[in-house]
Amino acid sequence: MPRNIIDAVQGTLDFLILKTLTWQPMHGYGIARWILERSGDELQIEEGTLYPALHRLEDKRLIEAEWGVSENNRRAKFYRLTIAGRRDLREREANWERYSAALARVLETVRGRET
Amino acid sequence: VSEAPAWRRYLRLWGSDPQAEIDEELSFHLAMKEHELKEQGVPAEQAAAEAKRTFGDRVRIETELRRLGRKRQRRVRRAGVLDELRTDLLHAWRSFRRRPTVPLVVVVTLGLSIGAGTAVFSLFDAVMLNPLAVHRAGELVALHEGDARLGLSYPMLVQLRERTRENGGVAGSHSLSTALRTGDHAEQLQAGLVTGNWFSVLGVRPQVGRLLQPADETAPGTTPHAVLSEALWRRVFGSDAAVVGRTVWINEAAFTVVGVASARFRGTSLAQPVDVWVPLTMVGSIARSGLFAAPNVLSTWHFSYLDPVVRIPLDVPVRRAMTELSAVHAAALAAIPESSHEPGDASAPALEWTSLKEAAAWRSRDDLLRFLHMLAAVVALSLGIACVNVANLMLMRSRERLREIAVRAALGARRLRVARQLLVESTVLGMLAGFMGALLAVVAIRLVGAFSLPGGIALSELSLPLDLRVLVFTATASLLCAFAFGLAPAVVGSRADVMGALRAGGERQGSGRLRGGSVLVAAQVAMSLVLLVAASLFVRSLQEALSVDLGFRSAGVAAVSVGLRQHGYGGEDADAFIRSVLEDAARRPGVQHVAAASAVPLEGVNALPVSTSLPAAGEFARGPRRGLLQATPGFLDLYGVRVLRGRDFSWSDDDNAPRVALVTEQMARELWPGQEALGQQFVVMFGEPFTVVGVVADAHYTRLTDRQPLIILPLLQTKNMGGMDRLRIVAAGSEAASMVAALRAAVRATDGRLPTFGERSVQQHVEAVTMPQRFGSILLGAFGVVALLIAAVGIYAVASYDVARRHRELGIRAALGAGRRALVQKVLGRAWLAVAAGVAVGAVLAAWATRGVQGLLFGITPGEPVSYVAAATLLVAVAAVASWLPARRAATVDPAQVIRDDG
Repeated sequence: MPRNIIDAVQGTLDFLILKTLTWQPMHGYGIARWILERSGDELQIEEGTLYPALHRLEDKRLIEAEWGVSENNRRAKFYRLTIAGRRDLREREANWERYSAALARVLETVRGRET
Repeated sequence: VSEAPAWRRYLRLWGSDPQAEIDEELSFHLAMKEHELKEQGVPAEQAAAEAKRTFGDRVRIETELRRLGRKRQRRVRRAGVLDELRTDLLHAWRSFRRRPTVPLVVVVTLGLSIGAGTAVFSLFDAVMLNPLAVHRAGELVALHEGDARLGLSYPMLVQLRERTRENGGVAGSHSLSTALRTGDHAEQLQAGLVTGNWFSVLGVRPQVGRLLQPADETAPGTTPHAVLSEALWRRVFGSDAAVVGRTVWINEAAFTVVGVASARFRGTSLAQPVDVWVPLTMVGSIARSGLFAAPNVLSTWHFSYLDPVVRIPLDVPVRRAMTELSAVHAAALAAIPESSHEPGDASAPALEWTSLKEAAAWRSRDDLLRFLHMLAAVVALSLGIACVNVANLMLMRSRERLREIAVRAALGARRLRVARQLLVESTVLGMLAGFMGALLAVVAIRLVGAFSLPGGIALSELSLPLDLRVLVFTATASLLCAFAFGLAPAVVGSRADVMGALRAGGERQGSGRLRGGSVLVAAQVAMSLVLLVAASLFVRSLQEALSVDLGFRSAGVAAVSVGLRQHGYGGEDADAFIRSVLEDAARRPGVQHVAAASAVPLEGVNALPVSTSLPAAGEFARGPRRGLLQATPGFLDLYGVRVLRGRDFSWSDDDNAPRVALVTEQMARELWPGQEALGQQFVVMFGEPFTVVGVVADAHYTRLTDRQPLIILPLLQTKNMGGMDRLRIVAAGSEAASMVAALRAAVRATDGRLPTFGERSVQQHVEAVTMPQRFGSILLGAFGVVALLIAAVGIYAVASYDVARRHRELGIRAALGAGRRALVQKVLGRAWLAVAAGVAVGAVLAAWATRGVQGLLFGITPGEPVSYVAAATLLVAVAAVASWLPARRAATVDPAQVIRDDG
């Protein structure tokens, strides 16, 4: 479980990045676009903060990077999930489901009282 | 995703450029964003700004990324080093497994000497470096008055304490032999009378309860508080924390235990460890008679019995603190009412200081230093031998492995890498040896507890700690050794001539390198010879000491001590006690003779000024100090000492009879040269003169080294002369052990309150007196044997290696018709040259080194030839065996085989 807000935000971003990379290897811009497209305006992140997160995940060997060529023929750094990353993602998903289920139960109860 | 063009990969050859990569990655993002925005119809200039805005603070992010990059680089580098280290360790382990003999010998050799070194260092530490378990011992100084090294009187100490400011406190103590009783347990021990601030000046902490404090130094007799040593607390009270509040009787005065001092703290004298401390103001309750029982003991300026200690903080120069103390001291001296000293008078005793650490072992410091230096030299020598031997073994091992190293070099291993591999191996060995050494040291420290150092410092009382500093010493020693012996093979290994080694299997290495091995062997032989000579000197002097004709009976004689004065005996009652104990003891089975005396032979006696010209009444005798013994009738009979002329004492020579004395023949000659001693008179200090009634035979009364002149006085007439606080009651019979039992029973039957202590037979005295020789013999003997073994291993190894290396040459010689004898000689020649050189150098070294132990020897001089011949013979014999075994192999070289191999 996340311990504080920063952890929570950081953790969420990591989670989203890992999730994004399950589809295919992507460069940083691709990942940013993918996340923004799916979350719409709800998730207000500065795109730049993505990169430190990416590099940290790379240090933790959850993802690996390789220079390649982008769809418009430019040199770009592509990130790919590692086996450890896949395992980590599964754990995060399980945790998240437990966490949100618990939160939902609490909210149900509170709402029940209010009525 | 398409692959990058192949040429891009070659950029990596120059190493990746983290800064450029970060820049490229972020620029790519911004460019893509801008491109997308433009496609959505945003004008070009707005698109760039919008892309930047949504990206956030680029500078901050770049900084963060660079930081992450540096961290990663460091980690990668570290991982690389660790990885190589792991490979090296694994490699070392495998190579030890494959050929375990040499590493095993190395570890055992080094471990032995490191263990010995550690044990000796902790001894050195306990006695010399850190003798006192106090806070910042370096800040403490001991004060004394004038050349006589007297202490200070209590009023003087109070003056110094109250009138000076340039120090961290002035405190004083005096230790007395007292009887301590708790319930039914009674023993004689040293009690410390201390000023209230003594513990705080020394910086000792309580283990339990509290220590004495200034409030305890108050109206005489009102603070019966006692602090126990940790040792006493453990021994008598089983470390029970509930000891606080219990009552102990010191010389039959009741004291309440207020606390226990920290472990190891035994006061400020190594030779007289203290077990219980009480406030100085309680002196009247403890001292029953004698000088300390005087009513004015706390107010007189003329009794300098306190050993003062001053803390001078590091930021105060000692000179400044001493100037102030001296000024106060001189002023106080001048103000003493009946003082004859004027200020500035040269004869006024000046205040002097010594560091407390030195003062702790004061009386025996020189002997002690000499002994400890010898120990240190022995240990250094054996460490040296061990290192040389190990270097030799490792050198040969690395020569054997030359081929392996050459292969590695040929496969591209850097020289540094090979050298590091070899250093890792030797470090592993060094660490294993260090570990073994630490274990051995623990055992050795237990074993030396049975010995005592010169000056009567019992090792068992020192509680030698195996503390951090000692462990640091061990670790440093083993690592230094590891590098010393690891370096040589590393140099040889990294210089390995790859092609030559590969071609010839290392066989044709130049003979110059072998000379290195021979020099090492010679060095080992030389150092071993020094140790063996020293050991044999000690053994010989122990033999001499034990074969001395003491001049008195020693078989079946034993003594116990009692403290009569402490229990209030002084006058007639003491006479009655002595007579009754002796009568009781004489009746017990097996006892043939009994007597009481102030000291027993070999123990050392009092020396007091003696004058043969009688001084006027009330004046002191002026004359040199003479050895004095006080004894009861029967003492001479018991020890079988003949009365040459005149008569022995009788029981009628008591306090009411005229003063009489016995002198030894030598004393008679010294006091009255050319005259008959019988009937002559002399005065001891002051008072009634003694008349000589008998002349007795000379004997080793006080020392083993020679027969000393002695005056023997009747105990019953000299009870005020001392000796009553530690009276020896002696019995002679069939067996010393049963004498001790009989004497103890007799004392108990006469006065049950009186503890007996210091039970010893004459044999035990002889053992105690010959302790330096014994200790030296055992220690040097042990080191000598180990050194001999190590040298043997070294010689064997060098000769073996020589045979293996010259296998081919020997084979060819054999094929050309050389006889077996010639082959053996060929091999032996080299080894023998090394041994001969070693013996010659060693003899010179030994002659130089053993001069330092002269003071510890007995009856022989360090240059004594027997020891040299014996040591050299032993060494040569061992060398002969060690080199002959491999040489025999040389004779069995099969020429046909050699030539076939060569083809």
